[in-house]
Amino acid sequence: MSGATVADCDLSPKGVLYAWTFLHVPRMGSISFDDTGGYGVGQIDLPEGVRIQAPLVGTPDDWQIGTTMALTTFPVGEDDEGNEIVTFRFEAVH
Amino acid sequence: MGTRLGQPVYVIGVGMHPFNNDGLPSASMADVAGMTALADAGIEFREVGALYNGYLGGGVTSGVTIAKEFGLTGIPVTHVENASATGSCAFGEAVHAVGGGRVDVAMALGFDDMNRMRGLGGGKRRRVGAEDIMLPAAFFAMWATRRMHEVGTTERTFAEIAAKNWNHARSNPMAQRRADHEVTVDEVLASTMISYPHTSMMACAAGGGAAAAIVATREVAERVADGRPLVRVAASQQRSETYTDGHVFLGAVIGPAQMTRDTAGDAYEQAGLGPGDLDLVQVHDAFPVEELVYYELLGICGDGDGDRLVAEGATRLGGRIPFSTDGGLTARGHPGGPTGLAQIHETTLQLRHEAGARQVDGARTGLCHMAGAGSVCVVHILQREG
Repeated sequence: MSGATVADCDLSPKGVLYAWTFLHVPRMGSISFDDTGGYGVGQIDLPEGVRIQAPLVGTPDDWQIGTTMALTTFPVGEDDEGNEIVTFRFEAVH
Repeated sequence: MGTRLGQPVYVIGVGMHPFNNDGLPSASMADVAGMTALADAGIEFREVGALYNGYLGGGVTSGVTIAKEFGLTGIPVTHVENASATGSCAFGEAVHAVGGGRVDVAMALGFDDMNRMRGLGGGKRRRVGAEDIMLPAAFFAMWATRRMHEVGTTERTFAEIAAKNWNHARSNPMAQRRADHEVTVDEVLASTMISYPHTSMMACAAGGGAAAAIVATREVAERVADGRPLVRVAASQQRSETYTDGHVFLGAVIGPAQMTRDTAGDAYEQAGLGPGDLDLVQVHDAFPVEELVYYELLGICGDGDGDRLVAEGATRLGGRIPFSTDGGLTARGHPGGPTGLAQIHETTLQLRHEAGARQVDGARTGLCHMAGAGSVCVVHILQREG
């Protein structure tokens, strides 16, 4: 609700996989398909009570619901000044 | 927190241009749908007091431009957009224009061609933020894998729902996907994997089309009935999100499940009936997990019991409570703007007992549900009188 009291909170780089899928048909963005034939997407529950959505590293063999996932970054291109742009994804912690 | 209608509202005419993937101009399809609805109602455009156009693509002013094809009568013409629920919201605006006393007759007209829309795949490459690659297909698929984890739903159950809808569309001349054979579960499972566990035959058909509905006061409805039963709008409800546990803010395609439960609850309360009173239901079945979960969220069965409903065949034509009788988004198609109005078209035909081979025996009450990205949810209940 607008006007409610809020506080800053540091989020953990690790969480638990809540749901996932593996997409074979690209339609947006420039995410790399490498040799996996697609890319994973998941929702990860962080211990602070936040559910975050992100691409997943690997293939469906690498995770299942409940798997501990850790944040990692990867490059997606450059801005107009040539600076590297990175975004984040999550990978399974084994 | 439901909303009200000041006076009873009736559907007096419906029309469609068949959904298709032929790249036809939206304007000509809209013209066909609108003129068909006017002919179905037995009125001329000069009697229409307000027009609500629902479209996602098409650009600025296309709604008022298309309205000129029907006549320069000077009426208010308004563009309505709410993602997948666009047509449902245009219908809702027309219903409330009559129910609130603004006009005696209002028309809702939806038209689109999803293949021509930018930003849904046709746009130029963008810089990728994490949310940019979250496709609708991914959201629905994550919903499905979570469902499989919690309830034990199998890929086969998803395929059964899709096959049912493909087969419903076989006798719908307005449907985009009309198979020349009985579609099997194995066939659906064997089609191209899109986003696990959903295959291409489980994904809704994107394409083009148009659909229209005309609503009016009881006085007008009785005058133009011409021996046909009246079809009353027993409920017209629309919601956006309320905060829920595990709320997803970025890119949630259909919002929290609670939104459908709440909107349906508002509609049941307004109509003074419950899920047990329904004879048929249309839902936003962009992917089969949606239809499965909506069995539960609309109160047709208990939570987690949807899979059993599928196994029993309860939701196919001839079953206890048929869903997506015209093929649904899966096979009738989902061009965007007109989709929600196609549901109104189908339900009106069913309640008049004019649905031919798809007719639900003795249908008197039908519910139409649409969800739209953003997120919004719209539920209409139509009821036959007499």
